[in-house]
Amino acid sequence: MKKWRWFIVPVLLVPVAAIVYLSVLKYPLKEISSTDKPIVLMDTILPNLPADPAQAKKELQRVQKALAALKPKGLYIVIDTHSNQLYLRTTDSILIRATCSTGYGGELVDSATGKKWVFNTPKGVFKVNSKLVDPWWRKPDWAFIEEGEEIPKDPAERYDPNMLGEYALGFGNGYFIHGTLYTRLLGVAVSHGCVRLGNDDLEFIYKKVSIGTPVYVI
Amino acid sequence: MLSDVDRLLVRRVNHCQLRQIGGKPRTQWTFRTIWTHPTASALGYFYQDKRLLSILCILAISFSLLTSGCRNEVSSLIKGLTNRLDCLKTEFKSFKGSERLSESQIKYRILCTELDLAESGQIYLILNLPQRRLEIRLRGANVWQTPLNPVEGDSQTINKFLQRFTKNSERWRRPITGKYLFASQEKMPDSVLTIVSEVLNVKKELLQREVPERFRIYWSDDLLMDIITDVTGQKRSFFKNKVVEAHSALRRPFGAAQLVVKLPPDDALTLYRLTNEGFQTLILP
Repeated sequence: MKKWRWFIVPVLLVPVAAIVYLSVLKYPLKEISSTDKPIVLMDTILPNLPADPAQAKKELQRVQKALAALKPKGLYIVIDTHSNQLYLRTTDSILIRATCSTGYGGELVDSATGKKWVFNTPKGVFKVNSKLVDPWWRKPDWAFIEEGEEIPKDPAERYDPNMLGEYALGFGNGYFIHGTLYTRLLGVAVSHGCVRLGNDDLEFIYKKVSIGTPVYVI
Repeated sequence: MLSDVDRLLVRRVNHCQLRQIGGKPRTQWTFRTIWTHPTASALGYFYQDKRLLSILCILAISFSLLTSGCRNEVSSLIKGLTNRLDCLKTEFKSFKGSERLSESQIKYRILCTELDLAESGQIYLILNLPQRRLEIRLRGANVWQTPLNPVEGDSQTINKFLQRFTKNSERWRRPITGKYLFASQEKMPDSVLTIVSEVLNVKKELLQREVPERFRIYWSDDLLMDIITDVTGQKRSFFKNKVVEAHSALRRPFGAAQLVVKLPPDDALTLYRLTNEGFQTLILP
């Protein structure tokens, strides 16, 4: 043992040093920053204002106007699918913050036809295109497939008068902001893509917004 | 009077004689080779044992191998610094006689950058320093905002971050290059999710959200922002966390800039889920 004691230190030291070196200097850069992927920087060459003060002022106003034209005027709805929150707001203030349920992101495949549905709330900019009172839900095919039921041939069998609550705001492609029977699940992403809200919040929002109100889904 | 080397010599001779009596001829060879010069005699005191010599060799080789990567990094760093210095010299020459970027020029560049981002249709993050706000915008509209209150440091820290981010007004936007979650707490209790997932016939992993206790966002050029919340969560990995902390600590002397901000849990959750690699960030000075 006495003969080998001098080797214990380097034998222990070398792997420890190697681990520290690889992990501290190499590992985090590869794993976390993932700098392997080239990221295109479009802003390396920034534009300059014209030298002439009058032209410079004109150019500055042009860009300001272009940016302002994109921004919404008045009320708009924001749906945060990450924390399941809905905001009715203006640029400067938030009128209401409501807990909602958004799409859970799951998939359903019809084994008979191979048709696939993805239950996500679509992200992007939309507009309120319909306002409904006491809406009836026309159950799509997936609702029957999910329940393991046969798809009815009579269209009348598809309608459910209770599922969507008292109001519904359509924002395109069959997606709605509507009420729910499952209020205890608000705050959890459990819907099939629509946005579920509690009755009081839904009523407030329904009364405030009009057709054409922008809807931002993030 | 005996000198130090002589004393060493005498001690060494006595030692070797004793060892010779013990019958170890290898020591005899070492003794004869080393004592030919006073300097060698001093060295011989340290290299008296072959085992010690071999250990030192192993350590030297290991150190050399381990630091070869570092040497490359250091040399590339020096090369980068030299290039940067040359650039600065050139810039200084070109700016000599002319004024610094005017306020309207900076404003114009920021507006152009934001217009470009807004027109892209992608969401982007704004570090709004004058209003001390973190904002997320989509097509120019504010869709999310939270106060930007640095926990550590002062206005100097923010200025350092701003200077490094903009590279002295050359760049106002950067893509996020990575993020790291230190610790998090599951938003919904597992027992509740099990029931819900069974009723809805959905995987409970899809329904769960992790509320971060602490996470870090990375930009290039050693810029990073730590986001902390009041949540007490479970550590992702003790070792990895230490490694990441050590990594940033090592980078700090090289000018890495770090902001530490505290956010409400829900805001931290949204920010954590949104800030993926390539997510564009615009800074407002």
